[in-house]
Amino acid sequence: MILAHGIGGRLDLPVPVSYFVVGAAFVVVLSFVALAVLWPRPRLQSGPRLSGRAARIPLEGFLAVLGLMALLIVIGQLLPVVFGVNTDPTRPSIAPALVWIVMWLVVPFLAALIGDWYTFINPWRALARATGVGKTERPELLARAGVEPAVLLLIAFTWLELISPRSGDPVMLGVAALAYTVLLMVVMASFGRETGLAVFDFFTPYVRLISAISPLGRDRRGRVRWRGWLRSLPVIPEWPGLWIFVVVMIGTVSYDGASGAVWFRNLVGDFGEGLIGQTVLLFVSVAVIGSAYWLACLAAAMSSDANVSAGVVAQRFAHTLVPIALAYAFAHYFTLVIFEGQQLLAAISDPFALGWDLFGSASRRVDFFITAAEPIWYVQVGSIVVGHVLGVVLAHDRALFDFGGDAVRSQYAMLTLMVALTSLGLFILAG
Amino acid sequence: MVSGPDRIQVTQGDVVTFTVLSDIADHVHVHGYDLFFELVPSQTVEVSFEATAQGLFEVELESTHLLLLVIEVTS
Repeated sequence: MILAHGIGGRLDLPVPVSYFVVGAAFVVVLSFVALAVLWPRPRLQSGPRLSGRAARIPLEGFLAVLGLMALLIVIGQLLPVVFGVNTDPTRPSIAPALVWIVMWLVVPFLAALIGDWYTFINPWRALARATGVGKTERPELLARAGVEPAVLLLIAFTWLELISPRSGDPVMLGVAALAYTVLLMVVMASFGRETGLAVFDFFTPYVRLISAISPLGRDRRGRVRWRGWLRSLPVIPEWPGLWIFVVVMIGTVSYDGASGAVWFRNLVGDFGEGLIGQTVLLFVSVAVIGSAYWLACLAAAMSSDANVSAGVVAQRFAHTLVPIALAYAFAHYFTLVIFEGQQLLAAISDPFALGWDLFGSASRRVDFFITAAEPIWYVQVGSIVVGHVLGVVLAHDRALFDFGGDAVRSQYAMLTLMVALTSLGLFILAG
Repeated sequence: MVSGPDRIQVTQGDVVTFTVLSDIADHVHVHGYDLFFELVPSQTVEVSFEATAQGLFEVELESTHLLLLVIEVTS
């Protein structure tokens, strides 16, 4: 017997071995070329300089209402249960699409292009504003706890997605959304709106990190301006737990990809079929990525004359893994977004699976307009390679800044790690 | 308990046909294509559809989320 994933009707065909070999070879060559030709002085460490025309985009109120409506619809999945109304399980359900597609994938993917729009669409900020909760900030919590509480909640969330047998169940998602809302309202009331969200709402650092790739930023008056690709990543604050957060981003996607692969199933056998086994393997995946990163940081610290610990290096280089994390997620999930995302069009007509047809789209089916394997493989391998190159560039620049003359030597370990991560990413796609 | 093949391989454009015999009432859900076939206890039900899209598609019992098999559609 094999266990089902909760969401996602269609999975991509495994990438052929030849694509994997070519992609991996590319990455190794590009990395060594990079060492030779990249700039000898740090260029990205001073952060973004905004330029170009400033635009005010008057969508903030609209986005807040949109986010709040989505949250209320997900929690509203509990209403049919409360009132004892029967729902139709064969209707496309809106809650899994809103949570696992829109919130979890579309919001961060789009943020890599347009910047941190989650700030505006975040329903919990809107809720706190509307109710006047959390006006007094206690920023010392962010300095002390950092994103460590968010790490735990991020793992819990991915557990619900990847391992819980009820991940596609609207009622479970309603309960989870309600519990999360209560938790966030309590922490915002205790520590302030922005501090509570930064420390506990894992979507906040998640989208913040990915949005730092975006070439668009905002000036002090909130107007959108050009800042250039990747410019904000090197100046992301090093919150406590930052590097663990990034490792969890990569480790959980790795688990998802690997757990569907034949070699992985043969490796773990029956152990990988039980809930406990799967949970252990999720943590093992995160631990493997984390240990590899830690070792690379240790090697970089030891190879440098500067007296730094591996822990400091791990924090200093955490941002260099963000493009790789985004590439992993994009390669694995972009077809899920374009195909399963269409479920939303049907589900919006019948949000509570009661047989409604509000907008006449309830019987719409997913249009698999392109499923030919080759273009999908190109996008997958291409995004992993591009993520790798960006990671190498960021790490090179940070090494020049932190290690000066030892930069190239300190880079060997980090470069080896990135080649390994990229090959792993490709290998998993080749499942 | 499920018996039968874990995976069926077909070519895009093929018509996929298999039968399901269940001891409970439920729906067979062909993911992706999003097709539902009603199961009546102790009656053989034929599941049949044209494999128009490539990819891996899971087939499961809708209410218990029990995975029956995976259909691999290639070019």
